[in-house]
Amino acid sequence: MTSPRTSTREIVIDPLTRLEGHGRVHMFLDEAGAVDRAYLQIPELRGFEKFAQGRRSEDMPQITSRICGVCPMAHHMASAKTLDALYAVEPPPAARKIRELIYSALMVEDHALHFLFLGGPDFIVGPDAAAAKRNILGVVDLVGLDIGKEVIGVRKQLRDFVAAVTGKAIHPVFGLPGGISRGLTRELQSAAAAAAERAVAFALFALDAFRTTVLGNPAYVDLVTAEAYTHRTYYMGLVDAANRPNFYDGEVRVVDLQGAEFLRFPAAAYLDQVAEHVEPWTYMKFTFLKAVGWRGFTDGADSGVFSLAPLARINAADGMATPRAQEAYEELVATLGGKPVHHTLANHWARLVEMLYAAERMAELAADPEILGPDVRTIPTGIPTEGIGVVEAPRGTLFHHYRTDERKLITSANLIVATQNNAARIALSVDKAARALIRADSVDEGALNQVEMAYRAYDPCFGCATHSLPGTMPLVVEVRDAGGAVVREIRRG
Amino acid sequence: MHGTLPEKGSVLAPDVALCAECPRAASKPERLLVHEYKRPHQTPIDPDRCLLAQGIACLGPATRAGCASACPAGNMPCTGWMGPTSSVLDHGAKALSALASILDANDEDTIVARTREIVDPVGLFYRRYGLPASLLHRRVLQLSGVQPSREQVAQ
Repeated sequence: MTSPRTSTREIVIDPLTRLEGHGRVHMFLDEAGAVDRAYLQIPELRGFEKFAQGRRSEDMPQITSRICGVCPMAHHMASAKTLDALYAVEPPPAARKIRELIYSALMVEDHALHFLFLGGPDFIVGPDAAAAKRNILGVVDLVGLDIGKEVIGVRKQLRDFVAAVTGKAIHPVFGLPGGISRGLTRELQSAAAAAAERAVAFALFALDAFRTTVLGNPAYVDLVTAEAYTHRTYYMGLVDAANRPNFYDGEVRVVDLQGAEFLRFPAAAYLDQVAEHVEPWTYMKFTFLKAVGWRGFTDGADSGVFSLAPLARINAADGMATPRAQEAYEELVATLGGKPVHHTLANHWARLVEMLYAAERMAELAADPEILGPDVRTIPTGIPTEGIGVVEAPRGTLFHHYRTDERKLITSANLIVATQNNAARIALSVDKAARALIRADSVDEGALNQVEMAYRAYDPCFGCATHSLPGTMPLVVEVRDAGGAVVREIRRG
Repeated sequence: MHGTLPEKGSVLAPDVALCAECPRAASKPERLLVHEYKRPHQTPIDPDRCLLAQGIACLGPATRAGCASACPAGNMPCTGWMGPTSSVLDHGAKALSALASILDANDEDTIVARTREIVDPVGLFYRRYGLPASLLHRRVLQLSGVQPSREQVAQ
């Protein structure tokens, strides 16, 4: 891409690494060599909403899980819940609990993936470490092979359990309107309990590692609380009746910049509360709160920009529903000076608090006698017309919205994915970090990586199952003079 | 590690239909006849019995084995994930043929009625996998006086 303004210099980070999907950061520099504006661009376009048209509604959980290989279960579950709403059927209690059990397992393993493989290496190995080390292999080098094996082992055990219940871990086949394709056996219940126990231990270990590595290092604490990584926005998350985060179900709660409840509504009212803004330089659409309005890429109480994902969910809640996660939550809030926490990099900590909650919730559900109930289907009988469903994907609130004809075929599908809801704040974060950290005369890999850390904290999914092994993806940064000539080029990979 | 790679173009799966390795195979009747194809969300599904014998449109007979029967193990029908065996030219056509041949319908009215119950034939027989490589080549046949409905058109 060439700059629309040939008199300025530009720096491009392309492709971005350790995220889901594709993206690039395009920074435009002013005459003095400082960043004038940085854009996070998503140059991919996916056609799921189009090619879902004409398909059988009951196939949607299997079709939409193909969107991404990292959290296909989130789309599968959002789709199954949308089919519940579409066909106006309530799953029996056992089915509902098995769904939440499976979903908790997903949350643990997906959050573990981010902490150890995607975002965590920036802290564990260091933001300025050599790119070749800033990945899971560098993490294992530092923490030792035994812990490395435990990371892989706990994730494998969780995924094996999910596959045993749902057919496949990547592309599950168990979600149906009004329930799931089959119930839980005693053997699978025991497998769930064992996996949950290991997951709780692992989450506690990860929180300890965070305390030692990040909180024990004043330079990292300064980084986490730096103004360059801070935005004051609204926050959104699904909550239960007591305003605690629930990943599987609940009402959408939005809090304002002081943490007071601003909105609370059921998933079906989503379109009344949130609208989309389009920019010409990216395929991403930016959502904002209708009650506040779009005021451009800016934070503050007058801007409808809101945020999702772990930190937002914690900001939008009054506490956690399980005891040890509640302790971890209180420690986070006290350490970071009360709620809401506006420091983007605190997402990494919040993610671990959530991992502990998901593991504890999995243990609770595995111990629930009702989960062995044989009745796991409510067979729908009516002719559906429209349904909206919601879950908390690991990376934020995810909505599906379908309309159908008299043959129960999809006539329109709208998928409002987490990262889209988070996109405006992520764009703000990248822009602010770039302005604070990048100058034409001081561009190095560490600084560029710190720009990438601004989006990585959110664990964004740009909608595609394309992944890079960290540290090996090619990156070319060209610094051009006012005439467009390359004055400096940095390559990696 | 022997350094002996399979021949280029090899498919690392048995060249037989999925039914051969399906744990439900024993319950597949000798002479399988289906009165009507039910959509999976509209009927209870027995986790041990042959899905076709329950009237669920399972693509097992037209699909290559090698997936450890992942979907039938999850109590849902095969969707053709592994593609066809080497002797099949067009996976969707084979699936259509397999499911049509066991349909218990002999007079024209019944055949038409049963056919109309297949609401999304392209989606059902080609699912999400085989359409780009099919013999259809994005063509739509115009039958006299019959406008192809949206789902009959390979998009």
